[in-house]
Amino acid sequence: MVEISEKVLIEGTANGDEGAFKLLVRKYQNMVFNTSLGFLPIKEDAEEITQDVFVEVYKSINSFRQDASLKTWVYRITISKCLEFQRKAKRKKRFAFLVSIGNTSDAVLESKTIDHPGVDIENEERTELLYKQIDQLPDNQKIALVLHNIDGMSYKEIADTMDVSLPSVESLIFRAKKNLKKKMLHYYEQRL
Amino acid sequence: MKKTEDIRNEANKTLDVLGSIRKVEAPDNIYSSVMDRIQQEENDGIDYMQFMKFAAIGLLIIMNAISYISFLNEESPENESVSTTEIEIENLVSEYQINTFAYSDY
Repeated sequence: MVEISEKVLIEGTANGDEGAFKLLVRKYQNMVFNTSLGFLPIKEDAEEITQDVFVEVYKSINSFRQDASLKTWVYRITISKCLEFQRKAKRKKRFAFLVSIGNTSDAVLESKTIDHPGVDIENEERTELLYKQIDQLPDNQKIALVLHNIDGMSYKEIADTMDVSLPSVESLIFRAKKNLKKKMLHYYEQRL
Repeated sequence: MKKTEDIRNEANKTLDVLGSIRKVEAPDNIYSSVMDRIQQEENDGIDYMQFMKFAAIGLLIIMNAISYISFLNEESPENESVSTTEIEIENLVSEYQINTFAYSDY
C-alpha cells in the first residue's frame, strides 16, 4: 500500500476532501480505539470516543498548527476525550447514586464495568480491578501508565504526546506503578 | 507470614494482567459513523441558524408592534378619554337644560 504523507492528509481534510479524511480515519482508527480501551475497558464507550475524536479532528484540522506530528495531535485529542468521558461517567454515577437513595430499586447502579475485546475471560475479574485502581491515579500518572503499559508507547513518544521532558515521563511511570502496587496490596489486605 | 505472601502474590498476578491486554481492530464502521455524526451536526447547525433567524424576525415584529401600540397610545388615549368625558358632560348639561326648561314652563 502506498503511504500517503501526513501533509496530504492534513491539507486534504482541511479542504473538505472526504477521501483524504477517510484515509486519515483508516490510518489512525486502530490506534485511537486501542488507546480509548486503555482508559475505558468497555467496547461501546471506546467506539463512541473514537468517533468523538475523529469528529473533533475533522472540525479542528484548520487550527492544527503542525508543531507536533499528526499522530501526536490525534493522541492528544484521544487522551483529552477519554478523560472527559471518564469525568462525565463519574458525574453520571454520582447522580445515579443520589437518585437511587430515593429509589427502592438497585437497577440504577448496575452498569457494565468491563467489556474489553482484548482481555481473556479468565483475566476479566483481575482486569476490572486493575482498571478501577488505575482510574484512581492522578491524571498525568494514569496517562503515562496507560500509554506505556497498555499502548506500548516509548518514553520519548509519551514525552512528545504529554509535552513533558523524558525524566518527567520516567518519574510519572515509576510513581504510577508504585501507587498502583500500593493500592493493590491494600485491596488484597482487606480481602484475604 | 503466609498471608503477607498471598497478598503479594495476588497483587503481582493482577498487575501482570496489565501486560496481557491485547490490541484489537477497531470496528469497520468508524468512518461512516463519523461522517453521519458530522452530517447530523451540520444539519443541527443549519436548523439552529434557521431557528435563530426566525426568532430574530419574530422579535423584530413584536418590537415594531409594541412601538406602534405605544405610538397610538401616545396619540389618542387622552384625547379620546377627554372627548368621551366631554360628550358625557355635554349630554348631562343638555339633559339638565331640557329638564329645567321643561319645569320652568309649569
